[in-house]
Amino acid sequence: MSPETIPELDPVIHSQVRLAVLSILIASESAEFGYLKERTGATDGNLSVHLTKLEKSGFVLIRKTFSGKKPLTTVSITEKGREAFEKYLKTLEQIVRSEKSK
Amino acid sequence: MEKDQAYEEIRYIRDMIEKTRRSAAGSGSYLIIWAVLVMIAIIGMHVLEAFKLYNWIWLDWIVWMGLGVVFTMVSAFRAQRKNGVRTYAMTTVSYLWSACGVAFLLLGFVFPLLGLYSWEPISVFISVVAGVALFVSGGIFHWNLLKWGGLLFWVGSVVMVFCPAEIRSLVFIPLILFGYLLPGIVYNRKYRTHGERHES
Repeated sequence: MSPETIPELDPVIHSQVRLAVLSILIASESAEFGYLKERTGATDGNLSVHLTKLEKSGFVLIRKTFSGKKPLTTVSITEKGREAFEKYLKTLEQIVRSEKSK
Repeated sequence: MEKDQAYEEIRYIRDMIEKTRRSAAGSGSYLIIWAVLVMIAIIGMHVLEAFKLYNWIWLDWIVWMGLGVVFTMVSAFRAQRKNGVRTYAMTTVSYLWSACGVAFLLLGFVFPLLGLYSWEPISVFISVVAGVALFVSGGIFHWNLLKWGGLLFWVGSVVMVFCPAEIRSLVFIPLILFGYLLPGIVYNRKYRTHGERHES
C-alpha cells in the first residue's frame, strides 16, 4: 500500500489526552470526570479543554448532574465518536502495515 | 506519521482499553460474601432439619439470600461511585447475575411451592444455574478460576443426582468452597496487592 492511499489522522483525536479519553470511553458505557483525570494524568483545566473539543466535534456526550450536593460530570462516547475512533485506529494500522511492506 | 509512532499509539490505545476493563472487574469480594452466606444457609438448613423444623427452612434461605442481595446492591452502587467508570462488562455481568437470581428464586421457591416438583431436585437446578453464572462471568472478566468454578458446579449437579436427596445440598459445600470462595480469595488478594485485578 502506498502512503498516498492512507487517509490523514483525525486531528481532533490526534492528541495524547484526547486519544486516552476516547480509548477509555470506547471500553466503557460512561466515565466520570475524576476517573478520566486520574487515568490521563491531565489537570482539571486541561482535561476540560480537551473534553470541550471532543464534545464540539460530536465525539462525546457530557452530562452534568449532581451526586448529593457534589457536581458530577459524566462523559460517554457518541456513535460519531465511536466511528471516528475506529477510523483512526484503522488508519494507524494502515500506517504500520504500509511501513512494514516497504 | 512514522511506523514506530503509529505502533506506539496502537499499543497505548490497547493498554488504556485493557486497564479500563481491568479496573472495573472487581475485587472478588462478592464471591466471598455469597460463599459465606450460602454456607451459613446450608448449615442453618441442616440444623433446622435436625430439629425437624422443616417449615422454617424457606425462611433460613430467604433471610441469608436476602441479606446477600442487599449487600450486593449497596456494594455495587458504592463501587461504581468509587470507580468512576461503568464498563459494558459490568453491565452485562450485573444483568447476568440478576437473571440468575430470578432463576434461583423461581427454581428454588416458586416452582416447588406451586407443586411443579418437590424440594428434592432443587439443589441440582440451582447448581446448573450457578454454573452458568460463574462460567459466563469468568469468560467476560477473563477470570479462569471462575470458568473452572462453573464447570465444577455442572459436574456437581450431575453428582447430586446420584446422591440421596437428604444429603444432596451438602455437595454444595465443596462446590462453594472451590467455585466461589477460592476464586474470591485469589482475586481479592490480587486486587489488594496490585490495586486492580491482573490476569493469572
